[in-house]
Order: sequence, then structure tokens, then C-alpha cells
Amino acid sequence: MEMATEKTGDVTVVVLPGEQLDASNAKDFKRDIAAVLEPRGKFVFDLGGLQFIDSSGLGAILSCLRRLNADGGDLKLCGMSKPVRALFELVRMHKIFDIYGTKEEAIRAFVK
Amino acid sequence: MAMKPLDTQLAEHQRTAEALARRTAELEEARSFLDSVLENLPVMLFVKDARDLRFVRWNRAEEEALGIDRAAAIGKSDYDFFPPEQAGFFAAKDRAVLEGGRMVDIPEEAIQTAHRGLRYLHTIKVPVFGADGKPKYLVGISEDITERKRAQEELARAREQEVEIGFRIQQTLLLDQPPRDLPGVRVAALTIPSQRIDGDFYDFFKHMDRCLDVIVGDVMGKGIPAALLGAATKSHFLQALSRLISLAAPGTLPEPKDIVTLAHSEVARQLIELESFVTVCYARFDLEKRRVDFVDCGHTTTIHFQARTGTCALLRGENLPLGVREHEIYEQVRVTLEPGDVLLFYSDGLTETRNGDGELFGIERLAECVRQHGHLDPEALIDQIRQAAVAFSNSETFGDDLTCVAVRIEERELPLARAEIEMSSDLRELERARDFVRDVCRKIPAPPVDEETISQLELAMTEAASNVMRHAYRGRGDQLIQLSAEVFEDRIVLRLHHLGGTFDPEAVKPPVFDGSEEGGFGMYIIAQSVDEVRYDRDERGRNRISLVKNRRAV
Repeated sequence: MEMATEKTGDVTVVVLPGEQLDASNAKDFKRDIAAVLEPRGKFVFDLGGLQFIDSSGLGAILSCLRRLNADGGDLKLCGMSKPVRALFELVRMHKIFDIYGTKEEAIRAFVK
Repeated sequence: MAMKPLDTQLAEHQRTAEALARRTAELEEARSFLDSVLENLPVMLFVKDARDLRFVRWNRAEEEALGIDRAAAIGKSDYDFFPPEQAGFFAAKDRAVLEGGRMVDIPEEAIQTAHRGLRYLHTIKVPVFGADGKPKYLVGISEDITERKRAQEELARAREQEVEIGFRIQQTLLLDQPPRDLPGVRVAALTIPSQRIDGDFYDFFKHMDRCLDVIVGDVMGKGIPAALLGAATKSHFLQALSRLISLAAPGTLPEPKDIVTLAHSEVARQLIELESFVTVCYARFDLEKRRVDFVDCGHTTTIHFQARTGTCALLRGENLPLGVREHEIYEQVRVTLEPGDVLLFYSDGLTETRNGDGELFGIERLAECVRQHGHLDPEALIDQIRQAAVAFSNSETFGDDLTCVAVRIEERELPLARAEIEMSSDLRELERARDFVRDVCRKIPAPPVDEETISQLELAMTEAASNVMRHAYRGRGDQLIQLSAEVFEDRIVLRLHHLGGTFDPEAVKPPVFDGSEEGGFGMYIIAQSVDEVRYDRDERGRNRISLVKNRRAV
């Protein structure tokens, strides 16, 4: 999976590729995102293109958060579609992640 | 008064003395005879003095049975030999005999013997009265019933065990649960086990949701052998059915007569060798065409309640029971059914129930009961039948097992839409599974399914399918999964059929919501996304996961 990234200051925004993140591609995603994540990095995942996510996809994103937190970095999420947001809420992950409506809001939250 | 001459007096005295000597000798003889009898009686005998309850006699059988010599016993009381509570028990019985002035029968008393451990006696105690009318002695006669008691206990234990084993065979091997979720039919079954199990059995096979096979059978004989024969016969039917299904053209079912003929060919020789036979009724209900094809092999006459006329017809076939003649060819009979019609199958334990006068319950009474209560639910109908049999025989228990199966044809609820696809167990197919769900939902006639419901169904389907691929099929991508969807007025039912490992929902750990675990949410997500999740097997033995989502009332 090609990860499109853009830097705003010291915040890296990753636009998650594809419309779905499920058991069929969660492993690939974990492998490819590992190359992008760096210690003490400030990351925003833009989930705007994602129409569907399942428990495996959610687990993959959760693994990114845990890894960044362990290395002194952080991760914020933005641009969730309704079904994606619904799953995060179903398993109460909206309390674990910092979630913002837009990427600008997410970046601003890092600057504060 | 004139004196008798001396010689006469002497002669009389002489005679008196002789008579006395003779009488004494006779008494001596009688006494020694009695002694000898008492002594040699094969039962234990003792005599106690009524005043102080000390032993005055103690025969040989007592000596042998209790290991106490008469020399040691005479002049002593029970308290000198036996533990206090036993001696107390004996003394209490003695007092009851003496105070009541009559015999007391003690069916069982425990006694601690010196050389043979704890023994059990059956004892009779009798008072012997003196000239003053008061009890002078107490005679006790005892019989050692220890061995008999043990044998009886053994026998009772063995019987109990047989009943227990029989009951377990019946519950696990002979009786199946009637299906509950089949549209177009309602089924209820009842068994009242008797003290000695029969080989009554019944089984149900569903063919998709279109047909239901009901098999009821009764093995000649009783006890565990009959139960095992019942179980064996039942499994031969299942084997015959699955063999013929595998040979049948796709979408068709083997005929009941062919299933019975094949099952019989497997089991006939064994039954003939064991000199047993089995009566069976194999009935296939076609729920779409509303008819039943049945093969009656000497079983009790099936009762057909016809809702429209409120009358009962008797359905009987011409076939022999299984195990009567090898190479028998079985024939089937077709009867059309209407909604509300009931077919009642039962074992002869029901019709052969007798009342106090020895009369049989019989098929007429049974048919009348069905006619009166045929409009009830099958469960309620069967309960009425049970009550009628109980009232007739005036007993809650029966000599034979009483089994009864009622099948009622209902107005069939047809799905508004239905679809199926087959896909491989490759994770890349998950998207196709979601597209399938979305397509079905979109094609549903009004009212449309809302977007949130579709999303939840997509999610539940993805999680279930991915569980099957990753766990049931252990990640192998070359296996098959069949998906089906049925939409009803009030609910949507998604099903996944697969041949992978069986899944135990009980074994799943609850999810952790604190972010410390990256997995373990799948089952929880499924449960939260639909209204009902069921794991079972379908009619082809495949594992089946059913996801039911209620449609919102508009």
C-alpha cells in the first residue's frame, strides 16, 4: 500500500489509502505504515477515504497508536465517515483515540 | 367310712407311684424332646426371664450365629454383649412385648456379632404367661437375613443402574429435539420414560427450510438391548439418508421409501439374528407443496387431524416392520395437507395403556382426544393427550415408554426476497460478502432498509466471514463458504455455511476496551450489530452461522 504523507511543521499527515480496511488488507497496512512511523513523531491519520473498517482494521490502527505512544510520539485521527465512526464507538475506541473532524483541527491540536 | 383293707391301700399306692413315675418319665421325655427340638432348630432361639430380661435359654443356632456360648449367655442380659444402643433397642422391644402381652415382629434389626461383624436379623418375640396370667418368659426367634438383604440391595442397585443407563441412552441417543425455527410447521414431542426403557426413538431432519423428515420408531423388547437396537437403527437411517443425498441430483431429495429400503438392508440381518424387529414411520413433510409422503413399517396408525372438517383420518401403510424379511422393498403413501392439519405419531405404549378394568386406551379414544384438541398448539395438544392417558390409567407412570410426536402445518411465511452466493475462504472475498449483503438490502421491496442497518449487517457479515476464514478454516484460502440471505416482513436473516472447524462461542473471552488489546472484538461486534446470532448445523451437516436483524417498524 502506498502511503501518501504530507508534513505540516513537525506533524505528519497520512492519508489512508483505499476505501476499506479489513482482515484482507490489515496486515499489509501494518507492514507499510511501519515504514512511515518514526519515534517521537506526531502523526495524523486522515481516514476520509475510508468507507468501511472492521475489527482487524481497527486493531491495525490501534497498534500504530500503541507504538507511537511507546516511543514518545502521538497519533490523532480525522475525517471519519459515519460507518467508521460507528465502529470506533461500538468498541469504545473513541475514548482511546483523539478524533477530530478535519485534518486542520487535528494539526492545530498538536500545536497547542 | 369303712377303711379299705391294707393290701388294697398298698396296691393303690403302688399304682399311684407307678402312674407318677410313668408321668414323670413321660414329662422327662417330652422335656428332652422339646429340648432337642429347640436345640436343633435351624433358627436362633432364646428365652429370657420376664423379670430381669436375663437369658435362661440359648440354642445352638444362637451360639453359632452370634459367636456366644450358652455358658456365657445364660444369666446375662443383652447389655453384657452388645453395644449400648443395640442392647437398648432390644430391651425396648422386649418391654413392648411384655407390656403389650403379645407377639412383636421385628422385620429387621442390626446386631454386632463377635466373629462375623454386623448382621441383620428378622426376629419375632413372644411372651409366655405364668399361671397368674402375667408374662413369665419372653421367647425370641431370629433368622439371619444378612445375605438376603445384601442380595436384595444388589438387585435394587443393579435395577437402578439399568434404569439410569437406559434413561441416558434414551436422552442422548434415541430422542432428538424437535426443530423450532422451521417456517410453515410446528413440532412438539413428548416422552414419559417407564421403569424399564423401551427402544422408542424419534429423529428429525430438515432439508433446507423446505422439507422436514420425521422418523418415529419402536423396537420390540425392553431394557438396554432394545435401547441400543433403537440407537443403531436410528443411526442407520441417518447414514442411509446422507448416502442417498450425496448421490441425488443437486436440488433433489431421495425418496423416503428409498431411504427406508436402504436403511433396512443395512439393519435387517442383525435384527433377524437378534430375533427382534423395529416398527417405524418415516414421514417427509413438504412444507411448500403442503403434503406428506410417509412409509409406515408396521408402526402404530398415524392420526391425521383435518382442520377444515374437524375430523380425524387414520393413515396406515402396508409395509412389514424392519427385520422381518430381508430384501424387503418399502412403499410410500402421499397425503395432501392444509394449514391447521396435524399429524400425530405415537408409540404403542400410549394406546396400550390400561385402566383399572384392564381396558386398553386404544386408538378410538386417542383419535377422539386429537379431534377435540386438534386446534391447539402441538405442545398443548400433546399435553392434553398426556392428561387423557393419565386420567384413563389413573397413574402418572406407565408400564411402557410413552412417546408422542405432533406435527402441525402452519401458514408458511415466505421470504420477500432470497439470495445465495458461494465464495472462497480467501480474505479478499470479504468485500464480495459485503456487496452481497448490500445488494440484497437494496433489492428489498418497500420499505427500504436504512443505511445504518445495511452498515451493521455488512459489519456483522465481515466479522463472521473473517472468523470462518481465519479460524474455522485456519487461514486456508481454498475452501468454500456459502452465504444466503432471506428477507421477511419483520427481519433479515443472513447465513454462512462452512465445513471448517466448529466454533464455540462460549470459549471467547470478553473484549478489552482500554486499548491494551488489538484484537478480540469480532464476536462482540457481531453481537452488537444484529439482534440474534445462532451457531448450529444445517441439514447437510455444515456449520451454520445465522445472523438475524429485526427490521424497524415503519
